[in-house]
Amino acid sequence: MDTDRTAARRITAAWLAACALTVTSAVVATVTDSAEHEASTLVSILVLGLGAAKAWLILDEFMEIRVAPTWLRAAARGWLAVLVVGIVVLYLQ
Amino acid sequence: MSATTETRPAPAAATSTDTLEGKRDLSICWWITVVFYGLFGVIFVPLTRLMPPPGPDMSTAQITEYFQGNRTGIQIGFVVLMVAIGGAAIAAGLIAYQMTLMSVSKIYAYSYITTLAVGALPGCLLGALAFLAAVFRADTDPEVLVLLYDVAFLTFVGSLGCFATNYLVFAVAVLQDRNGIFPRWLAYVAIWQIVTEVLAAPVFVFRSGPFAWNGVISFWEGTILFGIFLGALIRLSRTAIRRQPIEAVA
Amino acid sequence: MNTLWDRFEGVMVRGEEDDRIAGDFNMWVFVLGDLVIFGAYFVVFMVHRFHEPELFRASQGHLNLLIATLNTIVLLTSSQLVARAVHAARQGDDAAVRRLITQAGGLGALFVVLKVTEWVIEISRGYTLPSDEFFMFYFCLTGVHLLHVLLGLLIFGVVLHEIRQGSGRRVTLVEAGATYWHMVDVIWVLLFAVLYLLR
Repeated sequence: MDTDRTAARRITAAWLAACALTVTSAVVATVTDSAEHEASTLVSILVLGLGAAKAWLILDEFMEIRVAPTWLRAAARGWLAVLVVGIVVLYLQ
Repeated sequence: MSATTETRPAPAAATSTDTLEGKRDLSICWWITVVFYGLFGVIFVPLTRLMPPPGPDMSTAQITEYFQGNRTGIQIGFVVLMVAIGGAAIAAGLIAYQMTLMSVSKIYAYSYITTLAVGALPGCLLGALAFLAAVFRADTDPEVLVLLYDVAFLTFVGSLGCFATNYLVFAVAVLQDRNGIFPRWLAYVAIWQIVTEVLAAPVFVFRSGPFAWNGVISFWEGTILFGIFLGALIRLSRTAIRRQPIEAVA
Repeated sequence: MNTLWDRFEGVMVRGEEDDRIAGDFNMWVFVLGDLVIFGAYFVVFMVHRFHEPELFRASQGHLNLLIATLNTIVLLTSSQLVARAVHAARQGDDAAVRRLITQAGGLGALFVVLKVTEWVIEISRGYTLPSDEFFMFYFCLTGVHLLHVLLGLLIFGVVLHEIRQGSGRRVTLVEAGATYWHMVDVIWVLLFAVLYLLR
């Protein structure tokens, strides 16, 4: 029973964290925005990082990648890493 | 002879599975399928050069030159297609026959055939006919050439409903099938196809960019995936022929 | 002889199930492939954004961030319910599974309603598919994502149906459906960051 409660708690914690990250990134993006919609590397990297963190949470905690076989863990996390790095690199061009 | 073990119980003791013996008609249909799609590739790529498609943003002069410079290839290629198009029907028939061996209703097999039959017209024949008409006379009005050019590529790339339905029918049948005619991952590849197929819809709106008929997203991602799917389907069709019991060949 | 090749042949050619992975191995193949396909869309978007960053930023300013944020919370919550449904399924609690999947599906339907509302708002203000490059990507990417959501609701329906029929495979089915739904959530979370928030 303890593992079930722990599992339920992990899921709830991950969900709360992801929601918090969502609201934070939305607020940051709104507050730092101006009428001219200027570029901001800091804000962009931040929201991408928070987005990546949320995706990581979903993969690890909801999709149980954390305890998946090595090849699956590598493939899933690898995909996220490559994509986010790619987006950041393209953004910084 | 390979020593593969059967994963599902063989239906009856007397039938031999995992062999192509006694299934010559299926084997012939399979070879016709392979030859047809090989021919299709040769026709559409090097011969007529419909694939990869030139852009919707070409000028009238460029389009006129495109047809004039390609006349022979278009005529040879698409006349061969007119003659050989029956191969597509046989290919569809083979897969549909294998779908009748599944544990699901035969309606899936029938739907598979009809979606491809309806799709063949806009999917390749209309484009071929438009091109043949474009090069039929040496002095066709350039504005007419542009129209035929647009018709050909819009139907060739933009005809997606029949094929999306075809993939859906196939995927649902394979996922529900308890006889394991095709492996389940092929159904999921078919669902990827639906995703990329649906993203061909914007070609009717955009004359350039990734969602144009020559775009990275609307053309390339879908076509590359189609190549993968078709290759897997043909290879797995052969395996399915090997594995089925001879008495099922009615 | 259970060599690596035999296992590969078994799964890839003969379609055997691989018991060592939670849920459906084949569903994971689908999910990883779909993530790669969608990843390509993101890359194409970023390449085009590189060519016209001011246009993209200006047009992005016309988007409704409130609805999008709400939708993100909606999808995260539905994912959480689905994750709990998987645990319930493993404990054999069919009633809980049905309840949680139905609730998750309800939130999925809410996502669809909110998304369509968002589109209607944009279109009524004059921003449509061919308005500019940004809106081209906006409608196409959120559109194809919406298609995934609708497919997910269909999958929930199938799972609920199978549970009611007392299918022996229901744990695998719930896990496979959950894996798919979480994928939809992962894609959205990244879409939210890249389309709505990237400055």
